Amino acid sequence: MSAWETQLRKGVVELAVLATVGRGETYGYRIVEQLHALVGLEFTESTVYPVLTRLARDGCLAVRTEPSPAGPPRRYYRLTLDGRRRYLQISESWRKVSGSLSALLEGAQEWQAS
Amino acid sequence: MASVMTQLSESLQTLVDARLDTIDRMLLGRVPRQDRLAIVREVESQLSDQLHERGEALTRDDVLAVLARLDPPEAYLPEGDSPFVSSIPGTLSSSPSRSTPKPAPGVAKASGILGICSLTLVLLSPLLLAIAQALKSLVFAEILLFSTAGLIFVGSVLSIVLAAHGRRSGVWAIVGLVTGILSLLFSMAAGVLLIMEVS
Repeated sequence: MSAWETQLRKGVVELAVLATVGRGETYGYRIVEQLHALVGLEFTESTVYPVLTRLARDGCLAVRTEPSPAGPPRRYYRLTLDGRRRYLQISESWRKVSGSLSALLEGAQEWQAS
Repeated sequence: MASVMTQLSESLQTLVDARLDTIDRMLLGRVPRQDRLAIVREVESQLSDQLHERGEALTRDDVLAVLARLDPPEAYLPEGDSPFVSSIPGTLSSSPSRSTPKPAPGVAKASGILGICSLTLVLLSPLLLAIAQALKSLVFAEILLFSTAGLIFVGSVLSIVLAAHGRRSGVWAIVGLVTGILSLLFSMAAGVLLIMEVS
């Protein structure tokens, strides 16, 4: 994977995780499943879990542990105030960038067609 | 790794633990310890859920199939990132980026600061000598001079060691190394002179 793809991916994963947790308290495997079901966001556990733990360490996510019928206790994540702030900040940036980029790409398509 | 999936036999649990241990080793020295443990716990939890979905009586094939669906342990290596910890004996040797770990920037800075402090003490030593001579008590003067020489010696040795640990790269490490060597030479010379004077 090229350097720009790596950087882009990092930002996208963080935003995707924040957006998923922003929908309501959830746990790691469920986040992976939810993201995996979305076209273009098929992030797997090796991508999602490091971001989850980093966001929790940064205070963007609050963690609650609860016993699971399947095995070890489950860690449930929810957005903190800092997390919500970060989510809004990144999503706003993303909208601006993607809007401008889409316009640029549409312009390029017209130029190619002519 | 803790045994958590009670429905697994010992041999199947060993398979699961081996995978978790490998992921743990992949992350060792690359992410903070707390994150590393949390990531492994998440994988363990996911494994439990996926095994649970397969029913009660699990076979070796079930476990292998679930493990095969997981990302390989190498996938946990951060892309293009330098290791979190500069060097850990016995680890970080399987990939080229691991064999040349970057030193922690704090180490080089500490070396530089210690070296500068030691050299400052050396430069202040004539003043301390004057103070010592002004003091009437010979014992007190000797304590002052020997403790200063000791501080310079310890500071300079530490700054050299830290500069070496910082791979002698960066301005701070070079400053630490140079000032450390200078201070050490001065402190040794001053120590010899003091001993000669006292004897």
